[in-house]
Amino acid sequence: MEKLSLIRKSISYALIANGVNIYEMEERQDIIYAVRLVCKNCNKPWYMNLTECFLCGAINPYLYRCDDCGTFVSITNASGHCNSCHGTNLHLVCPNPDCISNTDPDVKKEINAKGGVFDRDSGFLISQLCCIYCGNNEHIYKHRKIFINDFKRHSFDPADYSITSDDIDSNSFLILRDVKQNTNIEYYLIDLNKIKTSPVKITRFSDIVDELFSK
Amino acid sequence: MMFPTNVFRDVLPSDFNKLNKKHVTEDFVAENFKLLGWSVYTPFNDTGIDLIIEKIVKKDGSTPLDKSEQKENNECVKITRFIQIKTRNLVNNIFGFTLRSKDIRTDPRHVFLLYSDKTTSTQQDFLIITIHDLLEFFKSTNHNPFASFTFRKGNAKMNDLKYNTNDGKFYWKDHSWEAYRNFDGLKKISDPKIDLELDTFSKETRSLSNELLNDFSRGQTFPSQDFANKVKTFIMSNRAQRSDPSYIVKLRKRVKEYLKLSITDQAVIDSMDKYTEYILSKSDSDNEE
Repeated sequence: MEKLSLIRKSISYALIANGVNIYEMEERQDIIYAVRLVCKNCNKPWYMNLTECFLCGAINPYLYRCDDCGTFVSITNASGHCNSCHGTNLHLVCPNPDCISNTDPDVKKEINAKGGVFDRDSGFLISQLCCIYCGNNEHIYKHRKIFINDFKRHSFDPADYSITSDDIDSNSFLILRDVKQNTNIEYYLIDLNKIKTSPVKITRFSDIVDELFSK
Repeated sequence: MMFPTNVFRDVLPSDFNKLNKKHVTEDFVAENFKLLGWSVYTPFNDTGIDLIIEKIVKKDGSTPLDKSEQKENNECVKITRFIQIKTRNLVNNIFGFTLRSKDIRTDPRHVFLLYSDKTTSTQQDFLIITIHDLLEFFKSTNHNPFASFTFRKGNAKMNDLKYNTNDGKFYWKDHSWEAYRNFDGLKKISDPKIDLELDTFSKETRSLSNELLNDFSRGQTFPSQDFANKVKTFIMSNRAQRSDPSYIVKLRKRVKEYLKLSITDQAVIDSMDKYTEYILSKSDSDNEE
């Protein structure tokens, strides 16, 4: 049987690979704290590293646009030339044709002098303000306290996993890992506030994340 | 008991330098919260949050006497705070730090902990403030550091938080920040109203941040008043619409369709999608875009 610390790390990394941030508690090897920044309305992930146009709210397309011929060019274009006209007037523009950064020649000139709206030096980009799925403008931390252990003796009783009622709060879950002979892994996810209706058997790890953060 | 207190008795905070102090300062903060009965969670992976702390408090904010009082008392609630720590050595008595737009969260449980690790040779201080209170402070004092070009560039240094050696107090410009210092700051962030009325505080925080973020000051970078007026007028005229989720969804859909029509090279579209996916996968990482 693997050490609990290794199981905890393995599950932590699996959660991280599925877009969840993990925190740990020094005093307990069997607990991790999972957090996701989500839209308060639709519960989908929020991305603070994504940027939008400060002026109109359009999302960064990560493309250059050639000022000479209007062609969009990949941001990974290493040549620095437009693929169409070979011009070098490439700017990281706002993709919204109705944005003032495109409609007003003076504003366009000033902003493009700094590389375009989405150039970091322009000062006209801002971290995501509105959900990319539903447009809502509030985000919130969704957090789960997760107990982790190997599935022992076919028991779903939290007491068998050293979990007391003092440990449980409204966001507490238990993940039990059941490693089969042929190295397949199954998981049981137990909502510690709804033990009678739990557990949920899961074979694909990403489904654990969906279950944990669906509400 | 002092808060903070030097929990690592074998070494002084002042023994560290800028290059080797990151880990110890975050641990110092964590251990100080633990001493006061908070449960503390530290990051396993690189994120924008340095600590998560939780505690059970009574609805009036006071700490229950013991576990049996917690259980019996329906008036107890578990409070959670998401802490971003900034540690600085005062330079000319100034606590200088940088805020970027990605630091401005709408969850009212998000807290900034400004740790002055050498206020004096023997004294450390925590200045602790929720995002809601920080935004409220800027609004009420008519000071908006988020309107500047440098803020959106990501390198706006806040240099207004100062320690006055005459009276031994912290000030932001002329405004006292003693209400956010050490135990006083801790008391403010421990208010369970934030958790009990999460929806209300979240809306208020977003409203405050909208007001401060959707503003433009030309500074020295854009000297043209005409330019500034055009930009400001455009932003103001859009502000109400941008608070409407359906407007944002329609706008972004329109832009997507425009890009599909404008880009004939599939490789460019693939590049756009791939790079966007890469940025989304960085999720809440503290790394820059």
